[in-house]
Amino acid sequence: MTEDPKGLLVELGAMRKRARADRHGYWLPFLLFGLITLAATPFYAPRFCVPSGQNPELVEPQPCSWNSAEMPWLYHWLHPAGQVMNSPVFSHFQPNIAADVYWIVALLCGYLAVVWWYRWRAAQVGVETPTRLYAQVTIFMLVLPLVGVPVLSELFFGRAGWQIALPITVAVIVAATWRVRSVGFTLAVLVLFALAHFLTVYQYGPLFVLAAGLAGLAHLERNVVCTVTVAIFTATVLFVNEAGRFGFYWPRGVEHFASTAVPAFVLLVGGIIGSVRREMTR
Amino acid sequence: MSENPTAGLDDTVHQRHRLGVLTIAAETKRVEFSYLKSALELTAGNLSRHITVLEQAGLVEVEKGYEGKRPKTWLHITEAGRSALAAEMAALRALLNRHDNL
Repeated sequence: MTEDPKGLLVELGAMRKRARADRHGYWLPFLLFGLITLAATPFYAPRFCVPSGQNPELVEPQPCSWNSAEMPWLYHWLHPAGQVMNSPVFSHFQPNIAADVYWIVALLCGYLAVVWWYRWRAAQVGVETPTRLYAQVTIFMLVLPLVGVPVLSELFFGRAGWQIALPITVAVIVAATWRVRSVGFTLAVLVLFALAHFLTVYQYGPLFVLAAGLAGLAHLERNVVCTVTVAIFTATVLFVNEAGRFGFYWPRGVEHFASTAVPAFVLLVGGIIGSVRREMTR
Repeated sequence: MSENPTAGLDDTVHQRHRLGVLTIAAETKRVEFSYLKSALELTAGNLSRHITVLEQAGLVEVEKGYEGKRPKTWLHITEAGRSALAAEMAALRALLNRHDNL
């Protein structure tokens, strides 16, 4: 190592860059969550029914009708405000408890796998990525929609009305976080609260949890491919949840899988590029 | 007259290998002894001595454990270590700016 300040700063910069490159491990979470998203596709397949009393061989099946009152208690707990239907498959929207359970289990297992992966990788290469922020964001985004939103809805929003409850909730969050940390922290908590709400109302809401967790991961990884992938993924998640509002619907031939396949494709491509780049720099 | 930037250099941190240890440790949650040995091209004995100095100054914490049957030594930077590193880098940049302006 050199002694002159300029050379020293250059060498330290190179060391930091190498340590950062060595600790990167984002491609596995991308591949894992890409596959998890893809595996959710069957849960969104529309169910078709033949009206009772008609011959199934003579009548073309229609998407099954459903009634909120007939849904089990778990559906109402997970979606206290119901579900909006802005997704590009609006015409076939059908609530599905199996999809809710799948996402809860898959996101929890995915979170544990990612934390384990970074620890395992650290043992192999000798440098560990700090995963605390990722863990905090993911746990927050799992617990809040499962417990926080239903309880708040039941005890506060349902009784006071959202016009009163929403400003009070925002004021409490701001008051509780403003002095503790920074303005950025307060804004981040408000965004996470909003995302937790979206999770309960949007058909593809669980993808918001993925987007938030992966944004935390991108912040830790500080890598261009990782950040760009998460940005495109987040835009895709917004699109698949909101496109119907703007009159966009997938073509008939792909509507059963496009809303999960497109975000999954983004993550898989990001994971593959990251993995290839890693191999090339070895 | 402004203070000379060399006044901001801390003897404990300024030693180039210790600065290297802190730089790598600041980029990670924790770093393993053999990684540092390889990255800094130091012998185990030399690296141990530098780590002891940093540990005694409260700039890093050392954690010894096993990975299977192999002993492993991990090191992570403390808040004091991060502050000392930031101050050292600022002093080095100030020194460089002053040198360039001469």
